[in-house]
Amino acid sequence: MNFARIARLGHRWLALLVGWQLALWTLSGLYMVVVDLDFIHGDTLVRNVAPPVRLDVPLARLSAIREGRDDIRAIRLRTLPDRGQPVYELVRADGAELLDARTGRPMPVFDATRIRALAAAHYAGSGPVATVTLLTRDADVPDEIRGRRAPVWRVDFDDWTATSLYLDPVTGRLVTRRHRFWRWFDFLWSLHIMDYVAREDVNNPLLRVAAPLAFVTAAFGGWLAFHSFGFLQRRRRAARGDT
Amino acid sequence: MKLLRLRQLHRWVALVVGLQVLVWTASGLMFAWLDQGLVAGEALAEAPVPTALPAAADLLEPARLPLAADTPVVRALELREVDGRWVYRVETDADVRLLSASDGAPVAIDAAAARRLAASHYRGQGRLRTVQLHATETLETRELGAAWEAAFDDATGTRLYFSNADGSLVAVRTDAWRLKDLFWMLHTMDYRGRDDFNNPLVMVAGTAAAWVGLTGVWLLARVMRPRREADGRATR
Repeated sequence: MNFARIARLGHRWLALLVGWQLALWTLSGLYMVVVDLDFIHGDTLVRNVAPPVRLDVPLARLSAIREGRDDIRAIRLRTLPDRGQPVYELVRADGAELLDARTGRPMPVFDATRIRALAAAHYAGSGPVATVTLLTRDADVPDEIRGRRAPVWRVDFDDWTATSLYLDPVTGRLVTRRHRFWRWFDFLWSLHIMDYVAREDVNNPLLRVAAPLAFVTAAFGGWLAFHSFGFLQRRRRAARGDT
Repeated sequence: MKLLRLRQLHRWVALVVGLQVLVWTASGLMFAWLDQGLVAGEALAEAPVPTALPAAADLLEPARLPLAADTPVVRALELREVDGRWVYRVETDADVRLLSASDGAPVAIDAAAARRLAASHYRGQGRLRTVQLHATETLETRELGAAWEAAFDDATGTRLYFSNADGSLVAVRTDAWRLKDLFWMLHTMDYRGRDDFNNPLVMVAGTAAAWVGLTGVWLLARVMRPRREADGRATR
């Protein structure tokens, strides 16, 4: 059995084994390549991500804010996009705290109405708000924002890309945005790296087996292509002195 | 015969994109076997535990910061500790800068500061060899802006990068990362920036490869089936 035959059989049988995965790799890869990554990230879906910081209005003195708080690690001056309201966001040892920057007093807890207004101020699309939900338990946090802990607000929009904006209940910040094409990307990514649940481990055993098999399949295929186009036969024939 | 023609076309296109398919599978193989944690160098650097704002710290009110009237729009303003000093980090439409929290004077990240940052962030076993400023992007910093490189003499070839604008740790690069990045370039076919996988070359190659893959599966189904019914060898 010459090497061409080994390559042919190897290419064929291995392709039978990893063929579907090769097809999935190419199709999922093609989607990721063709659809613009900034669009996938939802850059076109949001606005007012960093509203201008208000230094033009009288603000509460820092000394008043620091009073009674000895664990401040950072102080951020921000502007809430819906009302142009200046707020101090304190980073403290046990999490964030939000203060009205004009009065220095703690902000009231965001309710669904205010979250809806904040989400609308961030949303650059054209659909109406469909639902506003506070996810209170980690078990309720969907896989599409994996890595985040509850509580988090979810605002769904009724538009053609099924946009969801996620907001932080304490700071009111836009945590992230998701939409149909991101979800497809994420699903195809899971097929691409063969990590179907967590969708982040590129060192998983399945991929570690499938990838070398695919490489060998492709290598056999490459050799076959080379061989079947006759480059070698011609050279061999020439070497033997055949015509 | 139709099948033969499809097979020929499959072969011709496969010949053209075959090399790239080989490169894709080879680089994919590398990603699968190169340890993700080593590539990210996650055990090699960590921001130091933040300290609390001292009660005695004398702070300038944000409104009194020396920001000229013609300063572009301020997008973010943060009071925080950088390299043991309390500073305001001011992000405008034009740039990012640090101002002393006590008097508003500009705070620059110089070589000495870069050395201190390197020491406070590094978690590996090596020693700091050199620090140097890269004013423009390098292969290891790309869109991260002007950055201080801190090179260590450890076995993993660690280099930490700190933003020249605000001193934050912006990148951890190791030999594993460099190897992965080389294969990433081959995988994305972005031979200059390496990270843009929406480039026309990879779109064309991807489309061709998808076609080869699909026709391959189709041919496989066709070739494997008639074998049992008739003598498949006759077709070869």
